[in-house]
Amino acid sequence: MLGKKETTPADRMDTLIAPETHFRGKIISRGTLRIDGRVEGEISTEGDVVIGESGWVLAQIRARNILVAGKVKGNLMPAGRVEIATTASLEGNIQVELAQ
Amino acid sequence: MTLLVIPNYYGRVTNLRIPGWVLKIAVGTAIAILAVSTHLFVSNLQLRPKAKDYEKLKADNRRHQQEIMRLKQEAETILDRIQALEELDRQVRELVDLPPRKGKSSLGEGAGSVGGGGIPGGIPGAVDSPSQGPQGEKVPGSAKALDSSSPRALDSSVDESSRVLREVATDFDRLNALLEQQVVNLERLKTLIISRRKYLAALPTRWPVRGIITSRFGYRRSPFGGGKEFHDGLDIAASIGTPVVAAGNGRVIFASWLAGYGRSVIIDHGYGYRTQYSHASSILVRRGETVKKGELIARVGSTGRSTGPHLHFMISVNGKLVDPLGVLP
Repeated sequence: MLGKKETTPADRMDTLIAPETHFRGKIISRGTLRIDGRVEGEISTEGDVVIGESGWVLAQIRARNILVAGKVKGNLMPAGRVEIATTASLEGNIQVELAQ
Repeated sequence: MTLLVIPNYYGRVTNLRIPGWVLKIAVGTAIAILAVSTHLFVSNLQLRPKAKDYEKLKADNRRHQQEIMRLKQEAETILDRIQALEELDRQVRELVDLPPRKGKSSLGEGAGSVGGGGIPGGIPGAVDSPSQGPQGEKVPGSAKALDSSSPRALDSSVDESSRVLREVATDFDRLNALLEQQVVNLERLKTLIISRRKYLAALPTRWPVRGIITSRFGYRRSPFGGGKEFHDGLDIAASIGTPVVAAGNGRVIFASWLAGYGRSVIIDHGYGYRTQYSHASSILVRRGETVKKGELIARVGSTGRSTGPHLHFMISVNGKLVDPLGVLP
């Protein structure tokens, strides 16, 4: 955290959807998203998307890395990697770059 | 204010509500800590050179103390020397038969015999008023050496140094006064000695001629027949032409024929002393001349009422004839 690493906008975790929040629509962002509530629509961001345990996403997610610990129903299009936790529940297609 | 803590993984988001006053207090405290730290830091920086100065001052102080002790010792040494000077003064006075300085009456009154056989009175004309000689006091004890390891001890050792310095200053003032006094004393002594020497030179203590004493001062049987007569001087036998010298410095007040005494010279030596040299064959000085002790003034003869070649020598003090044997060595 105190290193000399350049923090790009994508690394900034600055958008939070709190638990018991419903959102319906399209989210376009440059930073990292954290979703603990309910989102319906589309998510497109340059940073990561973290879906907490209480998160419930019904959307197509386009992001850098996608970390899922909640419920997702939709297609995932990560530029980087996908992480699926034990508490996650995923329904949809995942389109990744060729894994090595 | 709200503080959200969002972990970079899936962990729970912590949501902290912080009332405004807490924030203000926190900021205030932070500022206060910063201010205090800055102040302490700056103070430390400022005090560093002062600490160095302090150490230097301690060293200076220690040095000064040593110097002061040395000065005190010097003052004591000088005092000792002055006392030695006074002793010397006393000894010199003794040697030249001058009265000791302290406590004796002035010489003008001619009080008592000064020492040396038979010389009456003192030195007329010289005055010696006894001076209040300095007391041979010792300077007060030395200051105690102090350990100046703590600031308080440093303070008191500085005070002590000041006190000792003041003592030393007083000592030196006293020494100055003593020395001046000594200079005055020695000047006086010099004057006295000069007077004394003048006196001793004038006193008729040199044998005018060497020879057998054929007749003394006082009553005797008259060589010319008849009964007792008073012999007013000393008869010293010597062949005709033997040199006769002045018995002391003086001025010739008579150098001519005296009835009964033949060719005679009378010298006034001052201080009340006069000498007469009679029956001379020739007189070699004139009236008014100044002569020195031992200077040639006449030659032995048998002029006047004389039974043979001899010098008739007389000494008078303040007009009264005295026995020359009491004056001559």
